[in-house]
Amino acid sequence: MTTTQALKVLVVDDEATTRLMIRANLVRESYDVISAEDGEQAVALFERERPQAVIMDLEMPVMDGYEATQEIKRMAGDLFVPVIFLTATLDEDALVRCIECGGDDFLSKPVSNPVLLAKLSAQLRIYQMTETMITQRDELRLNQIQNEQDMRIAEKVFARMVNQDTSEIGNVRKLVSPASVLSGDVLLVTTAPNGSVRVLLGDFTGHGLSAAIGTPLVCEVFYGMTAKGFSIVDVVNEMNKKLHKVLPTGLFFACVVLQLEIGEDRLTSWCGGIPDAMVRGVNGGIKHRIPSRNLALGIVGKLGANSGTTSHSLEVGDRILACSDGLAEAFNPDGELFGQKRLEKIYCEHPDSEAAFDQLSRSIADFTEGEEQTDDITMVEIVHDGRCPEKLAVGAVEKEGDLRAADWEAHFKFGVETLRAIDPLPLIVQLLAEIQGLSQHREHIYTILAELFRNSLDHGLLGLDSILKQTPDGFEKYYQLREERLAALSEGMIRIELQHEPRTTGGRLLILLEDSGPGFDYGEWENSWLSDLRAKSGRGIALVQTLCESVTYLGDGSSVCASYIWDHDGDAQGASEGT
Amino acid sequence: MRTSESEIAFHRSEALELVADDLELLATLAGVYLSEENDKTEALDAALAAGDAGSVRRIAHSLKGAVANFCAHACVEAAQSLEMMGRSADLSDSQEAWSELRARLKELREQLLELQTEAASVE
Repeated sequence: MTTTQALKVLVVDDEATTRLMIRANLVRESYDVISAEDGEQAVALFERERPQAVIMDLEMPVMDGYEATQEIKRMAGDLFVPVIFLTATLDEDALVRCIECGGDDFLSKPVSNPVLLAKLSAQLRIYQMTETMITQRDELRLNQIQNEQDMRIAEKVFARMVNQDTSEIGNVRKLVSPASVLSGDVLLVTTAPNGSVRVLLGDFTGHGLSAAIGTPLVCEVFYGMTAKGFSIVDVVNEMNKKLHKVLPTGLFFACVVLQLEIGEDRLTSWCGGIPDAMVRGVNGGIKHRIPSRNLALGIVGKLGANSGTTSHSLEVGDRILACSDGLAEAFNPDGELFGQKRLEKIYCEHPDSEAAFDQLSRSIADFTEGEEQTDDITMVEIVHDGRCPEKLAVGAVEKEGDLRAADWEAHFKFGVETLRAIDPLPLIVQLLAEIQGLSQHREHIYTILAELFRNSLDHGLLGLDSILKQTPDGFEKYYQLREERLAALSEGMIRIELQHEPRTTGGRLLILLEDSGPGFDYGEWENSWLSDLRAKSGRGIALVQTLCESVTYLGDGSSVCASYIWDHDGDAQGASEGT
Repeated sequence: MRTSESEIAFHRSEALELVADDLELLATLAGVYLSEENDKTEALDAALAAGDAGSVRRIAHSLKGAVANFCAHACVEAAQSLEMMGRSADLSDSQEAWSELRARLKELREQLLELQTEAASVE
């Protein structure tokens, strides 16, 4: 109630002079007074008028003060409504009974006006305090209910945002155990246009809503850019830029991004501020450790120049494990931590590689014994089983309707500075998807362009030999050399020419790539590409052949022309299907 | 005519204190009391005649509460004697106590009437 509203007092006495005297004294002090002649009237009046205090005689006809007080206290419920008894006796038994039935104070008859006012005022202070507490409690309860509803909605929205349909990516296993309704851990899985599996496991500072607040942004960048073919470094830089802009000081995002290049038996990774990821070899043990070499995202506006990815060669059967710090920091009822060493021992030394992940999950559950954890626990395992996911780039397949095929051509020329600074392919593929409505063919076009472009850059300009990649040591050497030679490259260019012409059911896209390198002897290669499908080198070009109507090397081998035929149903006409 | 100190049936200054020195209110209370006094004494007389100890206790208690508001100590004492007799269900000495109470009530009535006259004249 507001302070401007008069407090209402119920005066109950069968003696008219007493009722009148108390009423007059209280009205003089601006109380609102209602009166009853017996207990029964008092109960009825209390129910109707809900006064804030009651002054109650003991001995009355019909219903006495004890019984009336018990009934009034019952009706008041949680709210403290003081009852002050009027008594002419100091009989101990009577006083005890007064208290037992809910009385809060006594006034002796004849009633002293100053004592009446002092006692009433004191009791009403308690009344107002409890009323405030109850109001606040009810508000808190409502807020809590509202908050729980909001969290449930947010949880569903976040779950839909984070968990795209990855059912086709069968070689990824997850364990997600949030410490509260909304997790500060993020686990995103998708495929890139070239068929590789890309996984992001991240951990925002803290947990709950404040930690999950940046998740939508991370999802948008990760899924959106991966679907368009952007590299891990591009994705990570974009996430960092955006997170730095929106996150408050002290909130950041530690993460690891892993990309399994299935066709190349290669793992590319970027790790910032998160516990070491690891590769478990086919026969157990840690084959590669992937430590954090970068700052977590959102701390600085621009990542360092040496913030790059690392590459590791894999064999079919290798398994990659990444975890949030909640796992190593999980604790049991005695406060003992699970720890990184225990984690690695269980996962990497388990004799059955297929069972290692489940064993680790069970070990954490057994270790914590149901103890409520203070941090989110997330882990993911990617199994290199040598099989490509059937469904590519879940975020990218957006059929945009049948655009009329048109005549057009475009030319791009990339010099050394540009080649060092950006990967132009995602932008070109995006352009193709938008101007010609080729979204349904994005993955194929990306694969063709990526392979041809990489050949031009790696072999044409940088002079790298694919044979190097046939051994694990050579594999790492290859990527190390690639970085060094690209950094040292002083001249050169790659030119891309795209020509499109309409056909009855779709169109033909001619892709011409030319580099300034010395070229190569392609005669022998053209006769053997189909038999090369399972070899580690040259396999990418074989894939391009299956997607295209034709792939032809020209001149000294520094130019290549690929013809890709598409139709509105999303079908492509490759060489392996016959032309 | 003002009552002398030796014939005081109620303590005026104490009674006025109970109503924050509001003479008009005290006179109003006196009017309420006087309008009910006859019914109460008749009911008490009948209860005594019938030997109804429970009614004697209840009516004497009510009378005691009413006269206490005027700080009529002698009346309170006399009413309390009858209340106690009723509570103990022993009315053997009740006639003497009843005579005493009636005499005190008569004095109180007279002085309350004087108070009403005085209050009216102040207005």
